[in-house]
Amino acid sequence: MILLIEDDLVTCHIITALLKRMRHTYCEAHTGAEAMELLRTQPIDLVIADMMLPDANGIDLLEQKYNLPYVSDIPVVCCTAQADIETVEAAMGFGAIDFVKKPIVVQSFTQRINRAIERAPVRWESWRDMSKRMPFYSRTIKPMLGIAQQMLGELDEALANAETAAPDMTELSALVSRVRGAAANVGALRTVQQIDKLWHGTIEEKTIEHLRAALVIERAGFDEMLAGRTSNESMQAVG
Amino acid sequence: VDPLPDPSVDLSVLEMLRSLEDDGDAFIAGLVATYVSDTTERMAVLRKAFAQRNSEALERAAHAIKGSSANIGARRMAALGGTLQDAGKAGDFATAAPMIAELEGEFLRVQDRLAIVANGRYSGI
Repeated sequence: MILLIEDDLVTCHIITALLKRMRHTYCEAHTGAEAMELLRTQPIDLVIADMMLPDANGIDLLEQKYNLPYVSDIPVVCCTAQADIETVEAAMGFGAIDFVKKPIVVQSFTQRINRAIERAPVRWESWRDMSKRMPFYSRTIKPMLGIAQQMLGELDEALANAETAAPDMTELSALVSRVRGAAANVGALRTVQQIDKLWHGTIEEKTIEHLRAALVIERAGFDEMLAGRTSNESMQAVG
Repeated sequence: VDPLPDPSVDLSVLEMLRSLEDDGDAFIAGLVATYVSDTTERMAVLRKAFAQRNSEALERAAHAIKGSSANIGARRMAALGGTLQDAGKAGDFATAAPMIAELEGEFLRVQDRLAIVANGRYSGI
């Protein structure tokens, strides 16, 4: 899913029409606050960001995103009418990978977005790779996705409990391993990547906070997958 | 500001936008309605910012007008908005005064031209 951050409605209509034509799913934010809310709750693969918003400067927004380890690697394409070299350098330091100049030119915009999306973290294993690994059928994968998603919920609950009372670390680590295994089985590559990145086998406050935040997004990603709202190759087989 | 692009609306931009959706006419009509409504609001913000000598608000409103005008093909509006944005940034209200008047006149011309396009009275679109 592509997150479009843009306060100008004319530009929003044009870019969303283009994204629809490119068969990308997307969500829109018109303020910095809306953008951060969507980044924290939705499985975003790429951000297209205007650099001047009513409540935020584009660079500040990019910095906020960069400081959240569970979304820091999501690539950003900045969309702006003009940018000085300081702005470009600052944006690139906080994860921007390209600058698209306004006004929007269809062909170059399409090419730049397609190139940028290739640099997004891979969220799901392709159906082709998954079928090679295991003889899945669309009838059987859906319940497995449901079970894995439920396990993510159980892990979240266990982590929430760990915030108030010291958990049995052996049990908690075993649960994390089981959830990781279930995610790997259904091809949820991003979920596995997030667990590997954020779980350090300890119950430090930041570890729990970041892993729980990542789980919110991963569970939304499973919702999207189960509802058939992704253009991913695997989803077409599931839906 | 000299020279300014002519005419007020570059119809090739609208042709390109029309091709984005299956129902291109409805898409253009929606875009035009949004543009006119938003720009009317921004012009009011611009005038208020000028009256209050608020350079930051002037710069932001001019920047917004520049961006949406460029995207819909209103190139003269976009160029005037860009110059006004610079004036706002520099706090140069002496330059801003005639620019605002010029922008208002240009907005009327753009609205006329867009109305023709949105109503399907222009055969090229």
